[in-house]
Amino acid sequence: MLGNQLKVLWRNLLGNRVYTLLNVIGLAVGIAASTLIGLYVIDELSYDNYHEKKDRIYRLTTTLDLGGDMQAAVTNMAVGPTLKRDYPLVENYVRFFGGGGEVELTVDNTVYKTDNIRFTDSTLFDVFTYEFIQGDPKDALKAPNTVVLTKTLALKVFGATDVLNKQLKMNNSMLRVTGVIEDVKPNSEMQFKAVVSMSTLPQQTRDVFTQDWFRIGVFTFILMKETIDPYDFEDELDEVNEKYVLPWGQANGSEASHDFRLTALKDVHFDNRHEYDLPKGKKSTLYIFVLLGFFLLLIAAFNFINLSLAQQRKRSKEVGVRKTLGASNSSIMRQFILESCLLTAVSMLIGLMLTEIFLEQFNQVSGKYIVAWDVFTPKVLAIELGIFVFIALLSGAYPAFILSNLKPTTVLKGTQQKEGSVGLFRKLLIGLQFLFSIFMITGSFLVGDQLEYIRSKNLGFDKENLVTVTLPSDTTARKNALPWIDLLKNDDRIKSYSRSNLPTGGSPEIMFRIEDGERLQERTVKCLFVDEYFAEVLGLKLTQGRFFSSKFPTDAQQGFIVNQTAVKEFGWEDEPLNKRVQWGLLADNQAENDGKVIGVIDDFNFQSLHNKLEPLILLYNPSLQGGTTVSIRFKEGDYTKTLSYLEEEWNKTVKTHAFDLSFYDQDIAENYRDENKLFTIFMFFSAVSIILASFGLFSILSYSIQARSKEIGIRKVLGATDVQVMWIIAKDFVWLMIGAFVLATPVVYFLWSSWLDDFAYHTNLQIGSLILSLLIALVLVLITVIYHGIKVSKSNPIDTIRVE
Amino acid sequence: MLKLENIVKKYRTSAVETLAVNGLSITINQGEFVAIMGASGCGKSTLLNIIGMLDNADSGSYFLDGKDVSSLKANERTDVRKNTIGFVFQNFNLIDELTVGENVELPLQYLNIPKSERKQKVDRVLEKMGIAHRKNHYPSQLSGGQQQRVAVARAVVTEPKLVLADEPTGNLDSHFGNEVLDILKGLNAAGTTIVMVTHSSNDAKVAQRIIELRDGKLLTERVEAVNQL
Ligand SMILES: Nc1ncnc2c1ncn2[C@@H]1O[C@H](COP(=O)(O)OP(=O)(O)OP(=O)(O)O)[C@@H](O)[C@H]1O
Ligand SMILES: [Mg+2]
Repeated sequence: MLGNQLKVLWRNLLGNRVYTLLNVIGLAVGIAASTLIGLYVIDELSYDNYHEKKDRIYRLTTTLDLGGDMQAAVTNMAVGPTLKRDYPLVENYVRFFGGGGEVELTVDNTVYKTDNIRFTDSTLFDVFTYEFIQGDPKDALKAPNTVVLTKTLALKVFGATDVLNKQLKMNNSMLRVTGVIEDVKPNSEMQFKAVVSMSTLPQQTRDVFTQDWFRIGVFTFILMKETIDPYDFEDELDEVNEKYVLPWGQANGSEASHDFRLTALKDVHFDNRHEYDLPKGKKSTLYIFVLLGFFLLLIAAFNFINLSLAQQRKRSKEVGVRKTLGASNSSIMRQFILESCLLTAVSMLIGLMLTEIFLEQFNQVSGKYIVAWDVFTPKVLAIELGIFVFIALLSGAYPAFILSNLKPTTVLKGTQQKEGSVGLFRKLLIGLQFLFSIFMITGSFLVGDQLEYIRSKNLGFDKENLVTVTLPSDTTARKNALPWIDLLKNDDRIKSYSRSNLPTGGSPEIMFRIEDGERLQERTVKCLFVDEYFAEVLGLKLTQGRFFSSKFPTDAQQGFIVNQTAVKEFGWEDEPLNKRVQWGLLADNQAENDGKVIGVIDDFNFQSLHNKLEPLILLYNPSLQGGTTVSIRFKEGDYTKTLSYLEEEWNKTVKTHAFDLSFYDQDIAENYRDENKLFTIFMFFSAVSIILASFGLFSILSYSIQARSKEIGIRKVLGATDVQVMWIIAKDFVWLMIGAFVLATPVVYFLWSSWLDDFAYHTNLQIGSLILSLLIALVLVLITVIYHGIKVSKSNPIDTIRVE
Repeated sequence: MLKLENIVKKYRTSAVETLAVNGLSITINQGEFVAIMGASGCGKSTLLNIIGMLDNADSGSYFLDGKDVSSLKANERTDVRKNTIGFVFQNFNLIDELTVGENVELPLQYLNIPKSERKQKVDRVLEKMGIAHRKNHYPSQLSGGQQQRVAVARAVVTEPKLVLADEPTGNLDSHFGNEVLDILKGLNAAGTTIVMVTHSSNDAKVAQRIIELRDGKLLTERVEAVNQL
């Protein structure tokens, strides 16, 4: 019996070769696409879940009140040890210091540039779990001037991993290797290539960061003795503020306070409320991805189910005959379910193969490090099994149920089955597919619009012909670069240049006192140290007063330039010039730098557009010993030759360090990597979903036309024109599409608005792109309909109504 | 009314070539009632389809109302067809998803006749066929005879000059069969030209002229005396 059923199955498949192939491949593509997305989501949700003590680890953050709240991801150095000492529930703490910027490692006189090296406590390996290849976790980072390398870095600089006690120079200090660990997993918040013992930091630095409660700069993680409710414990932390912070503030002439918070380790990855934080995941993006994967799978599954249902019409005669010959309902059910299981299994295998094939590309676009083996983890396999059961059952059981309950006589009489509930169900599936497709097409438009908006949004400065060269952090090397900087002065291909510490990612924020009516108000404000050419080189617009000038040497201590937002926020609208500003604060309203606002510039967006414009104070530093960057404005025209000349000269003068160049447009693009990623992924998977939906529509239409061929023939005999015939075929689908559009619009609207809300500056959902996506979907239907319509209209009506 | 000259129609399948109509010429006058007879497979339906412009001849010429229609394009043929010809099929060919009324209304729709007029015409013809009370039923709810009357009603609702009927009584018992023949006779009396394919020489007796085919060729042609009485 089984053999016979398989034979029928095989012949059926062969008979509908094109459609079977389309649908099996369609399902496979759907499974592959949703598996990839699923892997992405699982990865996002699995941050730091491999640490043995993960349920007891919390990140300590703080809301500083410094005349205006600021939520910071970092704390001062003292709070970790303080908590351990004062709270019995706190078992341990670990702090990370250092932003992970570029450093130079020297081994045997060879310099390696690398980044992501952090200072940390020796408790690191007690709190978090890392796999040691060499060394002893217990005392690896106890001594000063010790470093633990990751495998990749060890291989890069030493070419080996058994490098215990070898020496290496980091910038200007010698370090001893006390351990080598496996690379930090990509799904970890705290990324580093090496960790250096905290005690390596100069005593003075440590003292400054420990004693000053508002000198924040370390990430602090707390290991509790048991899993706690962060909210309850946060209340207890108020005592720290009472006991240490406020008294310190009083002693130092400040009314500022801290409000400490804890975030469970598992929630840290999506906790993007803080400033000074590392890049975080975005929940709204994740939701959109979950939906995307789900839709892709459903579209493919619906195709598959629809195919089986369409086949049912053709199969009813076979079933009738089998029944008159004595087949039981259950054996017929079995036959159909067997069939769908087989087809689903084949699709699933192909799908998983596709997943593996496209994994590499997907990693590149998504920035993930998913490996082939991740597909075979129990979690993923369980999901795949669920998908399998869902599709196999729906595509097999439903037709099986209907067919096995047919009376053999009705089937055999050959009376046409009514387009009843089955037809309705199938139409519903197609309608849903349209809905998903429209959602995805509009999504692609929207993400694209937003990206375009960001790119073209006026940044407030002219980014054309502008490059930035980052100077070495090594002091000797920086001195060596001075003659090179002098070259810029005399080159007539260069319009102007300026030295500053203009960061492209974040900006230092320091404490100022600013004039507020009668008194001086303390608050932290972002600031940039610049020379007198800065405004000219960047093309900033001065709206009031003047820019810094070498003719006024006092500008260095007494001149300040603020942006428009600062004017607004400080309440200086009527007269911003000559308002008093202080920094380098001392007690009793004294300060190292005390002066007046001498100019106001238009706002310029020196950060990403995720952030709202913030108050900014420019500080004059003519010598800029601490200047980290040189911005160069070229004259109009192609400046690539000049650039390579500059690079050659650099290599001649600064022998130890490579030329480190960045372009403004690229820096800004960097800031939108996440959105770019989302856009690429979205574009790609929308295309996949639309193609899948079109597959489905294609096969459903051809079945529908087959089923209605007699009707169509009769209509043609009675005088229907080709267009009328096509409309008969297309009518239902066009209405379905419009219905789907109406339903999709609010969903699209709500989901995408919440995504857009994450941007300080964003476009709105364009009615135009909604309508355009409807049109795209309609055109796809029409193409499909016309394809089939031409076939139908070419045929002689008499062929379709002939009864053999 | 219509004139066929040297009509040839071949069917080619991969292995064999069938000459369904083999150089046939006939003329049918306005107001005639013609019966076509012959053994199964001799080409009757093929001939009728060519007359009805549902199918193209491979060669030969066809004049309808004095116009050469053998070289018309598909659209033009549809146009001529829906204005002048009505069909009755052996197997009714009603659309299952439409009611009796809607089935009959269909050709009027394709002629772009306004709705109120359509309703009038449909009601009138259903009345005449004695199935007005079945207007809102679906074909599957009707007996074979009733279905055939619906098929006739649909063929004549546009008041075509020419009605083509392919074995209109083939599926009916003699009682229903005679009813359908009576209707056709009535139409003919009112001036409609009728060409009917039939196997039954009894049915053929209602015609004024009987054309007998064999292997796609004209075998005999005789005028039915009975009808002259
Ligand atoms: N589409 C087709 N393809 C191939 N051969 C065909 C086709 N249609 C008809 N024929 C052949 O052409 C010949 C004439 O067919 P036709 O249907 O005209 O016969 P008929 O006289 O109407 O027969 P019946 O009395 O059985 O209805 C037959 O031999 C038939 O097999
Ligand atoms: Mg026939």
